[in-house]
Amino acid sequence: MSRRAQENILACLLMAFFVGVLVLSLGYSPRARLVPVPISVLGILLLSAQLVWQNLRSPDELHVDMLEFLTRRGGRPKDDAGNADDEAADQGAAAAPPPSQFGREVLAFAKVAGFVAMFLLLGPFPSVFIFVFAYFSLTRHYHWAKAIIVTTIFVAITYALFVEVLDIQLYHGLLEPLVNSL
Amino acid sequence: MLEAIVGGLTMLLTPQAVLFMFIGVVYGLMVGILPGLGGIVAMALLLPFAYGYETAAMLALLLGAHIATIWGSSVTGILFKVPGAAKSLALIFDGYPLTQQGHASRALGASATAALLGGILGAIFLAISIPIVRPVMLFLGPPEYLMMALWGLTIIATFSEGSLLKGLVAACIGVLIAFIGMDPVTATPRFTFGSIFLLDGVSFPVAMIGLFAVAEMMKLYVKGGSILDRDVTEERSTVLDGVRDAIRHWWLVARSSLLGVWIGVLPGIGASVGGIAAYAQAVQTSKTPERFGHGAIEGVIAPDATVGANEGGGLMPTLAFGIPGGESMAILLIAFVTMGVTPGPQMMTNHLDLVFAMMWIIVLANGMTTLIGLGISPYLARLPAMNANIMVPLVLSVCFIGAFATRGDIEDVIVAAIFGGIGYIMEKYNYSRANLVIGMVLAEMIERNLHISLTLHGDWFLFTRPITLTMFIFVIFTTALPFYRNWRRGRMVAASTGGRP
Repeated sequence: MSRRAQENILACLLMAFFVGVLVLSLGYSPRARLVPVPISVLGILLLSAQLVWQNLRSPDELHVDMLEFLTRRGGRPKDDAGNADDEAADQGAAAAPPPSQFGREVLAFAKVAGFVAMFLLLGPFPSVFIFVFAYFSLTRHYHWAKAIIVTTIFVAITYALFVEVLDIQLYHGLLEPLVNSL
Repeated sequence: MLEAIVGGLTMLLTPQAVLFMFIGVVYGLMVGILPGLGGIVAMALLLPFAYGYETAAMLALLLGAHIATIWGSSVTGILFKVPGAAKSLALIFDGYPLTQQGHASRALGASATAALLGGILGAIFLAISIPIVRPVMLFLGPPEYLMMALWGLTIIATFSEGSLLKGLVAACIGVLIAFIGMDPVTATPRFTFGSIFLLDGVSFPVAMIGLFAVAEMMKLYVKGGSILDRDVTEERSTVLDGVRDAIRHWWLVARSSLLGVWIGVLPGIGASVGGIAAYAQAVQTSKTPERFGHGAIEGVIAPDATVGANEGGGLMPTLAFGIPGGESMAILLIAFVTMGVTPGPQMMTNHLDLVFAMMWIIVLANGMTTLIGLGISPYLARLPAMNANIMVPLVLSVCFIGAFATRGDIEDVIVAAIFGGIGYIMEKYNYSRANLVIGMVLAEMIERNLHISLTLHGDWFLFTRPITLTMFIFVIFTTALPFYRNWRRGRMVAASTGGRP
């Protein structure tokens, strides 16, 4: 899918968000909707302008940096240490589009979702132990024995910090009643 | 007054007070570095342990911890693009690019030194301006605070990360997210869909953990390697370079500190607005604004000096009127009650030595934080070089536990994950995450002050109050100025090239 198509889909989703907020806000009392209504209308107008803008320009121009726009400076700026960016490398990168990262992005979302699901089911520390150990092992960053040691030390430090020092009340997970009944 | 200044310092020169300040600073640094837990949590947790000791020691413990959390939250903003608190948000714009370029030590050194100088200058400015500040505070009302919030919102236009339109869309989303929950004015549940959890609204630290920390870890996982740019193999500068930078930009530090004091003095504004405003004024006054956002050291110095100075300013309404300058100052008020000290106008006469003792605590705790900070910065600067396979699971774990710890609600973990996904998509498609957070910060202030202004001064309050109208014109002027400059520069370029583009 082209970058423009992706941008359009996102803009349409955001438009739906603003329209939804507007519709919901109209059901509130005049004082309760005093700020949400104008803000959602503003959001709809801005997104309409964005949709027109991004569909009338070439794909290379879709990202417009505000500071560059305001200062009208050509090329990329030097960093604070005075190192100029390598424009030739930039041009080369522009010529060859980066490989699609869709697969890794889906995996990233899946890993976060899986971790949160474990967090809800088992509680913080068992899920942290499983997640960190599994991550170390599956990425083969550490040998499994070393992964267990590092994970145990990390969980112990985290537990000491949050539970002992900061006195955070623990959550035991949705599976706790099931475990207790066994 | 001189007697009170010396008396305040003498109160702190006891072994117990010095020891408590040290404990507070070390503890504050630890808490500040953890995502989601800021100065308020640090002070609230210390409060039960602080009873039964000398007044100065108790204040040194509480304020010392609070001061140290400020720099602690700057550290994560600079190293991982994860602001530990809203007040450190502006540090990610240039602090993180500096880290990526191998200048993490320099950024941390500049940050710590700017915070120290800001703290000292803030205390001095405040001591001098105590006689002027009170009438000004009494003069300003909700319409003026509304104008300040609007100013904060329009500042967004001057430093959007991506396109202007997308930046403004992100700010609108932030404002609307802040309205989730019970409307404090009309007691109407808004956008809660019947959920009891959502009645309390979206927790600000949790949203930040998701938008920045979780999203950054997802990005790091997708990218692989480490946070540092691929061609950076070792640190390119030292902590001392950062110290020198902060001293070299002394005028920026002074301006930012003054801004910090005045924003701190105004109750309910908060350091988060201060940090953003400081960054914006650093961009607007710079001769090379195009460097900002790509690793300009001034982008680190200005917000840190403002936030450092802000604490001194925040004490003013807390002590003089009993109106907390921020959430952490509300906890300080509780501490006063337990000590039998009643904040109010008499505080400035009967307990002036205590007022100056607190000024000294701010200065000394800042000094202690900076010394420790400069000492540990070279070690902290190595963290971004860690491989993604180590960093992603560890940081994600701390983030989700931190999200849970914020309010003790398991639903906050889900909220953090959702905001993580939103943050990743926003980053990918150049919708500024910082603008969303700024929108969230300012939304409540805008709505509350708008309602109060309409109730107190009627529909036309903008035109019936000259000071409000002046501030409104100022807001329009500062918003339009960059566009005017751009238009003029374009005309000059066109004239010099004979009309050719």
